[in-house]
Amino acid sequence: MTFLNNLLTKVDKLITYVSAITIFIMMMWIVMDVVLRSVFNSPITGTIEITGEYLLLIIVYLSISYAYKEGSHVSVDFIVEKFPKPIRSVLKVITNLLAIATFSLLGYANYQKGLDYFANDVRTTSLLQYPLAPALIIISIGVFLLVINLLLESIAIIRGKVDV
Amino acid sequence: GDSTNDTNDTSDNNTKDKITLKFATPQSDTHSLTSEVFKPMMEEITERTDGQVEFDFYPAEQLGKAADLYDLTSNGVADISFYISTYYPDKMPITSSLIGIPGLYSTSYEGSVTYHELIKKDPVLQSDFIKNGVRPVLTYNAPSGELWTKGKETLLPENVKGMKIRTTGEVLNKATVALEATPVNITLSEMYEAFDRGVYDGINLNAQSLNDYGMGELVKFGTKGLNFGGSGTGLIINEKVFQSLPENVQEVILEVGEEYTKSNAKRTDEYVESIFKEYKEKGIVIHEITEDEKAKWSTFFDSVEADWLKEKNNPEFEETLKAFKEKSKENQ
Amino acid sequence: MVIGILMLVLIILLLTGMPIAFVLLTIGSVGIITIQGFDTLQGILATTAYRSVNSFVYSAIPLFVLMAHFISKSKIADELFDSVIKWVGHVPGGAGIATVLASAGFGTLSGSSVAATAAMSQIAIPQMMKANYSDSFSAGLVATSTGVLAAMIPPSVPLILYGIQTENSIGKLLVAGILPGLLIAFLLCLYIVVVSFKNKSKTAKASWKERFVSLKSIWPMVILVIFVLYIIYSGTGTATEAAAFGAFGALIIGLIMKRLNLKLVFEALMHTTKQTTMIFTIIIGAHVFSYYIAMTRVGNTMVQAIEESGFPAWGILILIIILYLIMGMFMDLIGTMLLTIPLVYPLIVGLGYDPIWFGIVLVLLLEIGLVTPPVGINLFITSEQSGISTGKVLRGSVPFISVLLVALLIIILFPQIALYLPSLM
Ligand code: NA
Ligand code: NA
Repeated sequence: MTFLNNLLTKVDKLITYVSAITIFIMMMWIVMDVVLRSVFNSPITGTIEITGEYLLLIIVYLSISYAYKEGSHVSVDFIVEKFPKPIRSVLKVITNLLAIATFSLLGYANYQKGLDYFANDVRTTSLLQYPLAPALIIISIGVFLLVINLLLESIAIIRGKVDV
Repeated sequence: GDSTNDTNDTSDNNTKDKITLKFATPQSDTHSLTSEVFKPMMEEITERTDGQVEFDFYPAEQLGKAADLYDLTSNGVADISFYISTYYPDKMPITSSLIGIPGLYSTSYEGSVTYHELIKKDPVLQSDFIKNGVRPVLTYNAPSGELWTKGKETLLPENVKGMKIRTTGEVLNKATVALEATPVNITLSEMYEAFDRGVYDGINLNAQSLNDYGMGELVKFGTKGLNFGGSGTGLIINEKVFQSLPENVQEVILEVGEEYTKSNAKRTDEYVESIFKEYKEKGIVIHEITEDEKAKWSTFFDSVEADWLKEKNNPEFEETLKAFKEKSKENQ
Repeated sequence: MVIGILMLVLIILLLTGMPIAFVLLTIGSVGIITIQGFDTLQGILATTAYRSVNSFVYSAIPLFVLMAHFISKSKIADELFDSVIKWVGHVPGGAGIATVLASAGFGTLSGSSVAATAAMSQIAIPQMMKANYSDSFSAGLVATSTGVLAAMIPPSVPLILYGIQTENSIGKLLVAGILPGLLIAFLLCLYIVVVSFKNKSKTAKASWKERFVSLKSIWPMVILVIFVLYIIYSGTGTATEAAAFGAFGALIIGLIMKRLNLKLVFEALMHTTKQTTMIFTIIIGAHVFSYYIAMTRVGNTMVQAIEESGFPAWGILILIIILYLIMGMFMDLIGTMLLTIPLVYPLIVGLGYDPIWFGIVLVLLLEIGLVTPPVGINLFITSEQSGISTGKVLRGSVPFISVLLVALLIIILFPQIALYLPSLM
């Protein structure tokens, strides 16, 4: 389990680096687009589309699991904090299971849609004509990492290895 | 005699079952399409089926975003919905790019009625609808795309050279590049501010949409009758749901759809005329394209079309385009 | 019936500490299954995750957050605060006024209430405590004022979101926020001065020389503000594109001043990533939840009931305001906004209220919700960044929340405060 945990932490961090660098790329891209458009009359084709279809998607989904691990997803803590530890553990495992079920379905639905996009070769409407299937696969990768994270956390709580 | 009566009885019993259809649109509850088309259509269908068919109406993207409504209808989340074909080049290979060809049609009536007749049969019916599990109910092709600017008059193709033009869609982007202008893609939500502050010099849009987004406050010059591209939209129904409906209901839905295809297109054209009139009164220079100018633009549009056909390399697309041109003469 | 049970479960899950985004997604999903079955849910999940993120305009959210992190990490914000305190720190309530003014200044650059609050908590609270303010007063002021001012004074992420959702002119909405923002700043200062005559908190008076010298250190901020405003108002770029220039400008200034290095830039990017995914996960959850609410048609029933109740327009407005104050206790700003706009907006417009004005009122209401327990993100952030307990931050916030409510009342009674500037456009 520790090995798995460490591996997951590494993977999470690594792909969150991808998200972080993507923010930088997005910033530079938009700046370049505006400069090229207003000074040289030649904007970068497809900026609007690729920002929504890929850059934001990568930023959000590749870091969703790491953000959970870091406690960045906002929650109401100060009532549950007053509960005794065993009850807190039980509650945490229950809510984790709920989240696991929901996010598994979210990941699965997007994976299926991704396969559908691959099969039909769905492409962007921008002039760049790139395929959109990988975008949906990125969603499911990020979401399934979160699911694994929730799963490992729950197991650790049940085995008493983690304080809630 | 007896057996016919029996079948009639059963079908009568079937038809007495209440049917509730989920009708989803991106337009808000206050949009003119909602008040002038969607709501009256629902009432009409309910009335003509003696109250058998009712609707749960979800306007304003309540059931899904505009770009998802086609998918949500084909997988049954919604039963009837409004599509905007440019969102689905893969699902609607013909509609999404054919209607955008500049110079194809001039009035909404010509475009909508012509195309509605075409999509009732193959190849479009199969390739753009049935294949994805949906069926067309109503067609609404936007009125002629015009060029609008804040300053410089745009009369001939060469006048557009060097300008930054807000455009949408693949064909129009290509056409704008061919004019040696710069296509600028700005989201709808920022279109107004960007024009106001000069992020782009001109915009390719039909008069109705231009007015809907409040751009009438900004423009100083517009063309009339340029026909610089249109857009294909309309209503679809989930095919499985459609097939499960009693025959009389199927007929009513298609009938009402066809009637409103015509009345909506007429209403749109009248509305567009009133906008032009209002703009002229407000002091906006509206330049009606002369025959000479039209000829020059046509030459340009023809070259765009030829390039486009070559790129598409799709016999069904070509066949539909030809049929459209023949049919549209009847609906001018 | 089912919806009642689900809402109860929603509140219970929230209180157990399950992340808000997860609660919304779970309850929304279960709800959709109860009404339309599993296949519909799958269809909705397959489109929502993608569509909730896929919008160019949304890029302004991470980019403004990033800009705030660059400014904060390169200590530009510290110096701005320092200079303001040299000028006004010696008058009664000087440090408090400096906090309000610095927050307003920061607000012209940051469109994100959360990002601004995080930055000012680190900068202003220690300075105020040096000026003899209690920890609770200092933290309460930052928790309530910074976020509101960042959201009111352009740029503003919540107002942009409102504009997109309701198809109102974003430009007009942003301009509409200016005077209400200044009014709020003025009322906060007024309160601080009155209180300070009692507890005599002030900093040592800086000499005129010190004051002018301190102005030298604010040039980076001034340049950045002018740069971003230039991009927007010269027609070089849209408000969304200006966010990229804001982040880029802050980066360049930080690098030129040798305040930023590779490590700090990377830290800023990582923080931005985490905050971005947090915000969008809530947006996704709120979307799924709102599809469920739409399917129940409870909103239509409610709106119809209100419309048929024969209540006068102002009565309905008061009802809606109370509803938002209650919802703000439990829900996040963006979540509440996305959830309620499809229901409330048509009602408000139908009653004849101005949509731009309502955007300002709505954002102010939702910003108040960010400081009210049990779910108050700015409350938590201030506490986390300053190390002052949530209880103390909350206690300190109460009087300032009252000031915000007074501001709300004034804006409701005098809509021109919000509508005058947009009417000039
Ligand atoms: Na701001
Ligand atoms: Na709250």
